[in-house]
Amino acid sequence: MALPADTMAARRTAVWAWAGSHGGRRPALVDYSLAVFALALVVLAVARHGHAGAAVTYSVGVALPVGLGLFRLAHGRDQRFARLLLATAALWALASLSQSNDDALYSIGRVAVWIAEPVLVYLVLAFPLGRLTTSAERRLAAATALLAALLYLPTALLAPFPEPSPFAACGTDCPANALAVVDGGAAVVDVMQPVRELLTVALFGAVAGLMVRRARKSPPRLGSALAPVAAIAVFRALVMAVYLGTRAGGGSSQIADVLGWGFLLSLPAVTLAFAAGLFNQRLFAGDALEALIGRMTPHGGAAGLRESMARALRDPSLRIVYWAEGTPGRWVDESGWPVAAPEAEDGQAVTEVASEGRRVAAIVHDAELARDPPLIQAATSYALIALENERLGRELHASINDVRDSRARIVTTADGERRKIERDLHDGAQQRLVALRIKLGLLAERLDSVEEGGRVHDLEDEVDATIDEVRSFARGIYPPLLAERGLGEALRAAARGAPLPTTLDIPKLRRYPLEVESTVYFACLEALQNAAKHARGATNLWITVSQGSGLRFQVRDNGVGFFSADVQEGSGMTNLRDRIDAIGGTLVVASEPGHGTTVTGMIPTE
Amino acid sequence: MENEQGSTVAQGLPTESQEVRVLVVDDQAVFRQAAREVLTATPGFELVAEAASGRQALAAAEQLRPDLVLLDVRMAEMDGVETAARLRSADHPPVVVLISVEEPRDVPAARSCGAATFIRKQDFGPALLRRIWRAFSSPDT
Repeated sequence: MALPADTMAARRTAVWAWAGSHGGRRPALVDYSLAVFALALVVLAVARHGHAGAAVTYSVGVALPVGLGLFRLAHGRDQRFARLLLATAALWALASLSQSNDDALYSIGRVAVWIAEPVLVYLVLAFPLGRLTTSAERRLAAATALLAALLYLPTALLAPFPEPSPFAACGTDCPANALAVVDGGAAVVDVMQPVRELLTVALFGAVAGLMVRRARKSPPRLGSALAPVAAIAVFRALVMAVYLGTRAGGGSSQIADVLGWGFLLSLPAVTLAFAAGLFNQRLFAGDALEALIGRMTPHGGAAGLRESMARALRDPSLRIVYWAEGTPGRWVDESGWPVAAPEAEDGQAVTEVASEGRRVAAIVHDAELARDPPLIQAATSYALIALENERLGRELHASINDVRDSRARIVTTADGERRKIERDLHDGAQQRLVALRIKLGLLAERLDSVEEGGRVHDLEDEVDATIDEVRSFARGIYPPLLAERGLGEALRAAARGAPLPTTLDIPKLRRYPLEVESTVYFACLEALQNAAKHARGATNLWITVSQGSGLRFQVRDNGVGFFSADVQEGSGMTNLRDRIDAIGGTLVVASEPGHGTTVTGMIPTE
Repeated sequence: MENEQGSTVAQGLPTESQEVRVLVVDDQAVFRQAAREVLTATPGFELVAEAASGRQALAAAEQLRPDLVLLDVRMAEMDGVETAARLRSADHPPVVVLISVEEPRDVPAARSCGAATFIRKQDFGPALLRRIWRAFSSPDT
């Protein structure tokens, strides 16, 4: 069942608010003032009474939360919780006045306990966020506050304080209540006190029960943080129940004393439990982040990202949905299928991942993770890095493909232009020269003068030479045989004109795209020309072509060969290598002294 | 006058003249004009039609039944080699001479299409024309 939108929004806001407060302000003047005030009160109370055990307990019970609160503030962590700790310490410092022999101070101290306990209950329920997040927590905190407000605090005006008390070392011989204005002792003792003590035990038990259930239901990371606090809550509830029961039954004052001390000692124990819980939480966060970083791979993909995060955070239910502009509904899953907008079902929360104000994804995860905003913040940062990495990788790949396609188009366009130039030469200049030659022949036949006839024959020779040059030039640009008959015929013609005897091994080739045929043709031609120029001692050339998943060609000579490292490639071969690379092919020139030279190339055609 | 296929017909149907009736096939108007001049200057040869494509050549040959066809190799759609093969498979095949600006070795298919010979365009003239006819015409032509 999906949570109401306002709850989900509240959880999101809570996470991001905490995330924003994490690493923010240092302890302010008011924080230090509160700490000093609390410690001063303790000193005053101890000085006025001198009960060593109570003094030590109250000192530790106040100093510990003061120290922990300032420590957390100094490191910019859990600021709300840290400030609540300081406030609680200040209240307990006020409560330490109950050690005093002075009626007024004693009374203030006893009343302060009735305020401090609900605050402590709130702190336990709000651990570690410093904020109540469930309705059960809010109801318990409200009930505790109501109990104190309705059944404890008003009785300070009506009757003496109950004796003995775990918060005062005076036992049954305590100072008078300086705040009482009306004598309502009977009503308080007979009616209100039993009711409120019963309710107190019930509420303490409910708080302990809720904390135990939270610790058990939470994933291991949070369970280890909640366990110490839950244990103290159970201890306090049990001790309170037995203490109140013993006092009400008029049981042994020694037993009540021991229980009272136990309850008083639970004050510093609560803070130690907070510290242990926070330490465990940081330990887990460190492990989780270490696991996340260790699992970060450049090409893990969306599924890999989800798996890494789910494993590192120990949340198998974790899933990630992605924001996709242009998609109906705009959210897609890791496979790219459209999905509904992410909503947290019972026990889950949603954390959005954004980059530079741009929505990127949303992580649906265990709601308990939201109680550790720094961890979820780090996890979302990890997700962002992984997603950005993936996106950059895709963009790079697309760019590489774009560049490759662009280069291939350039090659195709260039070949098209070459064919056009050759055609224009054939249809234009060559035809005119041919017609001129024919007409000169006719003219020569008509002339009677031998001398004039000779001159015309000279002109014929000039025109013949020009025709041959233009034809050779045109063939060098783009041989018409290649365009009309394909690669096989063009290579056979090239072999016939090669400077050395050339053996061909060329099957019947199908037609290939213009850029493929021309690239292979000119590569073979370049290899033949290089062999003619440089292959000293060569007596034969071989041209082999084969076709399959790609078009493979090889030109080999039996010349003296060379050390490849000693020879720099010429511009012709470099240009060809660029052409072949532009259409996704490869070219290898291999040579060894005494073993000739082999030029091998492959163009993918599928 | 032009016939339905667009060929230029110098005269009407074949006559019992002694002249050799020639069909010139080339997509280049420049060469057709030069060929026209050669035929005009060569007694015993008569230009009966010009065609600018293989398809026009086949239509003109069927209609006019020339004795000799001068056929350019390089033409769009149906090139000279294919046209020559079709001409030679007709009932009264003419003598087909392939012409090109390329060297014969660069047109290997020319050998197997049924053409009598292959000449370079720039070599075409009255003397070569007469030699070709003497060499390749049959006594019945």
